Amino acid sequence: MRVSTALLHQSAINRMQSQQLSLLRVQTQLATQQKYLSAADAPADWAAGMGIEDLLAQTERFQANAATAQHRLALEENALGEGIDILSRARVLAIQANSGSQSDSSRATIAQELRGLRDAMLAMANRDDGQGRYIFAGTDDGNAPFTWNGASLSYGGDQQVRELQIGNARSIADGDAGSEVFQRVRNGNGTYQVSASAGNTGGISLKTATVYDASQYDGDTYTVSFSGGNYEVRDSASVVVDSGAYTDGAAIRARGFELTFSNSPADGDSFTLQPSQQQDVVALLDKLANIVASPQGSASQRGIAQTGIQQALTELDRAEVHLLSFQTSAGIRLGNVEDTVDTLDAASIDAQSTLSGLRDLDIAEAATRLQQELLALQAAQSAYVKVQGLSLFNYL
Amino acid sequence: MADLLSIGVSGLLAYRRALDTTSNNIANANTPGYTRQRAELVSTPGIGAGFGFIGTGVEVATIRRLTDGIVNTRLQSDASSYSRLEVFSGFASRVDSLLSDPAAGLSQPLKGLYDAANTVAQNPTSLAARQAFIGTSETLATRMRETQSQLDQMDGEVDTRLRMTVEEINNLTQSIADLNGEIAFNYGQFSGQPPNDLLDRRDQLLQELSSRVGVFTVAQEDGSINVFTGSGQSLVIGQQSTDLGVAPDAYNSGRLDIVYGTSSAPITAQLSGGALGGLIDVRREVIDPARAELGRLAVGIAESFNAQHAEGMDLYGDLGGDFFVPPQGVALAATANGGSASVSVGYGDFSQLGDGDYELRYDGASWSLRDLRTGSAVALTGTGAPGDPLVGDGLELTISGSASAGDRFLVRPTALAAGDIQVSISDPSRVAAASPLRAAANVANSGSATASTPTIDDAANVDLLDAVDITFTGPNTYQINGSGSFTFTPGTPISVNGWSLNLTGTPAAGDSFTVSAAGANNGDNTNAQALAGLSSQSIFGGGRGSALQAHAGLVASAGLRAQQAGMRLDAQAAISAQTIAERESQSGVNLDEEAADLIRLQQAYQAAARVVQVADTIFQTLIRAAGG
Repeated sequence: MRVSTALLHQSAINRMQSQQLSLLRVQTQLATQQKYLSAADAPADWAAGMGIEDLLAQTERFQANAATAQHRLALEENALGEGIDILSRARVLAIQANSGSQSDSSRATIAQELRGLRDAMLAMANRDDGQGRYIFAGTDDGNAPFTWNGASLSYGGDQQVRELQIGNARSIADGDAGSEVFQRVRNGNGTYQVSASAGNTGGISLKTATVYDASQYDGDTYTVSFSGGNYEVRDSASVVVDSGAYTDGAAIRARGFELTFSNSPADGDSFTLQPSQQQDVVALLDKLANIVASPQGSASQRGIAQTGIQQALTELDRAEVHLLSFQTSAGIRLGNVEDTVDTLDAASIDAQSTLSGLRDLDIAEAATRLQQELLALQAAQSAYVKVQGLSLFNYL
Repeated sequence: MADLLSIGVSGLLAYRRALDTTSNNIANANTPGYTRQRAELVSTPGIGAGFGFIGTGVEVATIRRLTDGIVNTRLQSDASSYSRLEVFSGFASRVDSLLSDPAAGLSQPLKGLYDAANTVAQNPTSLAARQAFIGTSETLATRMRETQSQLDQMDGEVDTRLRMTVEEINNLTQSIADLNGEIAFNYGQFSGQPPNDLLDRRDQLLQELSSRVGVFTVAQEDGSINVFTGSGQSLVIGQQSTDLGVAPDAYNSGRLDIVYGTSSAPITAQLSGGALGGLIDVRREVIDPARAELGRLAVGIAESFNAQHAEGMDLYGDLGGDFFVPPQGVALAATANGGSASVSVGYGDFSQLGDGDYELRYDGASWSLRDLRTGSAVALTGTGAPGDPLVGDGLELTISGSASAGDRFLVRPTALAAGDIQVSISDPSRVAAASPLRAAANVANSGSATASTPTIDDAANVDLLDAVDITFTGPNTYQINGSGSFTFTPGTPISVNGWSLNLTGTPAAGDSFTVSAAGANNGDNTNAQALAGLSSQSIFGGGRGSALQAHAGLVASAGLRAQQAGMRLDAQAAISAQTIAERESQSGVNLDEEAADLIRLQQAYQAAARVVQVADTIFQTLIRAAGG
């Protein structure tokens, strides 16, 4: 095949240009540390990289959500811990006040402290997160949720719980609505409550009030009245459902409930047994303070107060368990969030390493390639200089 | 004697011509398109005598171009393919860089949008988070508009280059026609001897023409060449050339069509190859799909955000309004339309939206829609009247005015949509992050049932925000607002007024639940979460998935086009290089070869001169003998 002189020059130049293009490419790859400069270099890898970037972005969002949830759940857990401490302290004070050695004035001091605990509980229920959003207000968290009207709490928040997404199809509640936490505690033993009639004249007081067969209790109101050493249990229709001789400390059983009393009744003394109702925690503390503050000059006043304190202690136990269940639930969620954070971190590292495999340049390989390209270009240049110097005309 | 002299002289003359030819070759060694020439020597016919024929010398039969017509035709078709791919690959790479650039592309703004929505979900009432959400949405909208405007500019550039290329083609065909005339004249005048340099010049022009548009040629008896486009329109017939022209297209869409001669009928679709073919392909295969996919992404994001935003409640306690200004498609009436009808293009079920353009046609009685990409008809329902639009392929077409039979419209659902995308709200309090409804269980409830946030089934229900009281009259029956008796099935939501409420746990008789409007300044994040969740939600049909996946698809398909165009260009470059090497092997000048020829011919010339000298010596000898 003939070779024309012009082609000889042109093809050498073309080849050097294409070598310089490869050189430019390696140089840019090394400068950017990226394998590909645009999607055209490897459309499939590029699209896969974009997919992983999106995954990474989503993981970062979940991580940020998890951090927010951790913060809010920790606030809730701490607040509920304080609430439980308040209830424990109230319990100690109630037992202390129930002791026969207390005078009216010392009980007044205890009642004062109980009122302080009541206010502390209200303040805790109205606590904000430091940014003006109230922890126990549900999603209507722009205003303090609870107001105290002197007898009970009224709730201005809502029952919605804000959820934060911390995984695909995995959300976690970042708090609990205050109405559920503080208002839904049933008084008495949870099934029924017992109160001494204000007109009692004997020293009789309630000792225990339990349920021996929940299926028999029909939710009716019963009256237990004493007369002549005997007792009678009547339902709301005044029908006698049980009666017998009263013995101090012996169980009176009827319709699934079981009551024991201390001390002796006077004739006509009575107790009323009603189904439990929802009572808020602050109202419980207020009620306790009022009982403690009440005068106990006579045996009957003492009996009424002791009955009240017996019920209040049961209710304190139940309230403590109630708050504890929310604290535990917050703690469990916190644990879940922490587990999820670990999973998210691992997923994020996986995604980053995949992304790096897809996109990052193998420096050693690129450096070797740079060396090869340089060598090839130098060889082509030196070959061109030698070849173009050859001409028959030099010898004419 | 005389013979010896004339033979010597014929040698001198012939070699002189051959030396001239060689030096012409040397002089033109680097002239583009030059074909090396050779003086073809033939011996002149001998003179018969009794002892046989005696030779009478040498003469130049012709100066021959060493060329191969087939290689030349291949060079032309290579030039056509190469220019087409060069133009195509250039535009494809520009679109690719535009879309994949980490700084100029849409990846970061898209990620930012969902990140910001998520931050609002974390802090639903934070005005800073809401402001950032609006800000990032604006960044995305701006970036989309910029991307669209870059693509529009490229489209405009295609038009400019189309116009320029058509002018170049006209100049070239004019020059070829002129050359045809000269060549035919020269052939005639010099009894069929080829005017080599004119032929070279014409081959060169033909190659330049081929690089602008695909042509084929037919050689004529008189040496002229007729040139036709690939689909048969004649550009040059003998000494006559016909000009191409440009004219606005049938819909006056801003694009140019190519017309032939004085006719106004467009032949754009029939042209292929060369830079012109490349430009036409760029429109159809690079710019149109990129704009349509970008537009579809813009429409998808805007429509899905608006739909979700409408299901939320803002800080003023109002239902969410449009987050983005609702995008609209474009319908262009053909300039030839007789009727006054105009068409507005809305989106119905945008998940069905394709990414092509459509032609809407009225036959006097009914409307028909045709997908211009596939050519297939699209089934339409509805009449087109306001309130009952023509519905097909995710489009809702409303006709106003009256149409005449034969009227046509170019419907471009998404091609320009990304250029109009705008964020509709500027007040951060207007971001509807909260659920518009809240459910509450009465505190006095004795059952264990709790209510979760109601889900919105129909945000447009006029009674959506009305307060509803659900009271259980038994564990499995309930009343709504104190009336009726409905059966409650655990696990099945209670649906009223366009919302659904899920109760978990067991309700007791007497328990009541209320659902009411969430009100102003609500810290709920349900809707913000749903907005952030749109990142992974599949909003497009046909397996095109979420907005992020559609964006990855847009970038990858642009990248794939650029990659394929680049590979085909490289392949064509190699093929062209091969053809050029073949042509050079045949027609190129090798200076060493010419130098050797120079020596050879010079020696022959010297030898011929020597013959003349010998003739002279013989003549002198004869004179001396005669005179002596």
